[in-house]
Amino acid sequence: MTAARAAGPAGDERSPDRLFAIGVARAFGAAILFSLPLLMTMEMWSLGFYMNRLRLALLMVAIVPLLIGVDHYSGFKETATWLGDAVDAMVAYGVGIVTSGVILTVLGIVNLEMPLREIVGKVALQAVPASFGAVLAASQLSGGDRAGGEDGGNTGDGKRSGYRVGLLFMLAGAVFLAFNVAPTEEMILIAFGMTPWHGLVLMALSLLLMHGFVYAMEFRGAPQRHPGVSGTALFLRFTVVGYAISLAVSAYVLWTFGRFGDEAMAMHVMKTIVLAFPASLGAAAARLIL
Amino acid sequence: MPRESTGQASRWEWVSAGVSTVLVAAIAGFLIQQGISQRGGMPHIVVSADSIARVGDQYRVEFWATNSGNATAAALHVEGELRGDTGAVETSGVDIDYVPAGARRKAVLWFTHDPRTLHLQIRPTGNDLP
Repeated sequence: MTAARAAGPAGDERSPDRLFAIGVARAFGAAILFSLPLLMTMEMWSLGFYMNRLRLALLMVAIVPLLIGVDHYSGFKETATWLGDAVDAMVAYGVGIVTSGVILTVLGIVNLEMPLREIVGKVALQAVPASFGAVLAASQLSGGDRAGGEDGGNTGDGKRSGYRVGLLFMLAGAVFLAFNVAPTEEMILIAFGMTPWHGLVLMALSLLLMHGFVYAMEFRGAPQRHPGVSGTALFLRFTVVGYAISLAVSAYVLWTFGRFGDEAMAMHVMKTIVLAFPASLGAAAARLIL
Repeated sequence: MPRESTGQASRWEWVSAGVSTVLVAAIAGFLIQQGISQRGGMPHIVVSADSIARVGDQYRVEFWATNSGNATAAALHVEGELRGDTGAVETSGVDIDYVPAGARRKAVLWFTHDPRTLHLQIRPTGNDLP
């Protein structure tokens, strides 16, 4: 697609309203795709009504800056204002809420006989991964048939190669993977069954796999690679930092879900390491995908 | 959302963003209010029999377990006891996975004696705190 504007069958330009409608439709599709596994996970339903209300409120608010950040840097957008990104992020959040409400109702997880507290809790919790998917669709999938695609693409690549942007993407990937794994009981059972040696090996494996992703990423986009950058610098700057981000995200998600009970610190650490394994892979993969 | 290089964003974008923001703020506020008002809450379970029916050679008792407390009850165990003149005749029990705060769940107890001819007492005997 060249720099020509997208044109309808009669040669008319698509109105902003129509483009918005298409974008929202894409957002709904992505929201369902990203959140369906969690929508059909029973631990998420019960967490919706029994998890700490204040922590759930904090989670709801905390993902807003993440949505705005992802929207700003992801995809082939023209350079947009932060306000525009905030608007997009909130629309994606709304799409996530509606998607969760509709799917949960259709599946019978939510019905009008339940108290409001239960309905709100279930929908609000599920809206988090759903809005995540929506915001990715809004900026990513719409990039292909937009005006200024080529220029916008170069601008996007230039914008997306910064270090802090890489960290943001790692954060987003870690959050998404951690959220997908953390609610289930199996995660805790794994932590209960592991010895400290398992924990050490798992940490090493996480770092190794992460570095593999990071290394492949650096070789993929040749213009971004500085010849003087060594593997060690890469390891420290991206892999280790990314793993630290994954650990922090994992601890936060576990705390949010109330998974840090009255146990020894060793068990808290073990749970965090277990969850950081998928989170770190999500972080590393996000830089490749986004 | 797709943004044209020279055109404006659709006004529906602003409308939906505004509605979404209000919705998110309302939900967060609701959760905060609930969280503060229900700190350190405990479940409070009340059981009431709903109907008794004969099914084949068994008797089915339907009952509601209502949680009027501020916290969820997990693994709620409910015992039903049939008492006659000579004492306890039969007991049956059932476990309910979750009864959220402010919610009620329906469950069933089965007996081989007719509960309508005896004194039926159903009560919660214990629950877990998730």
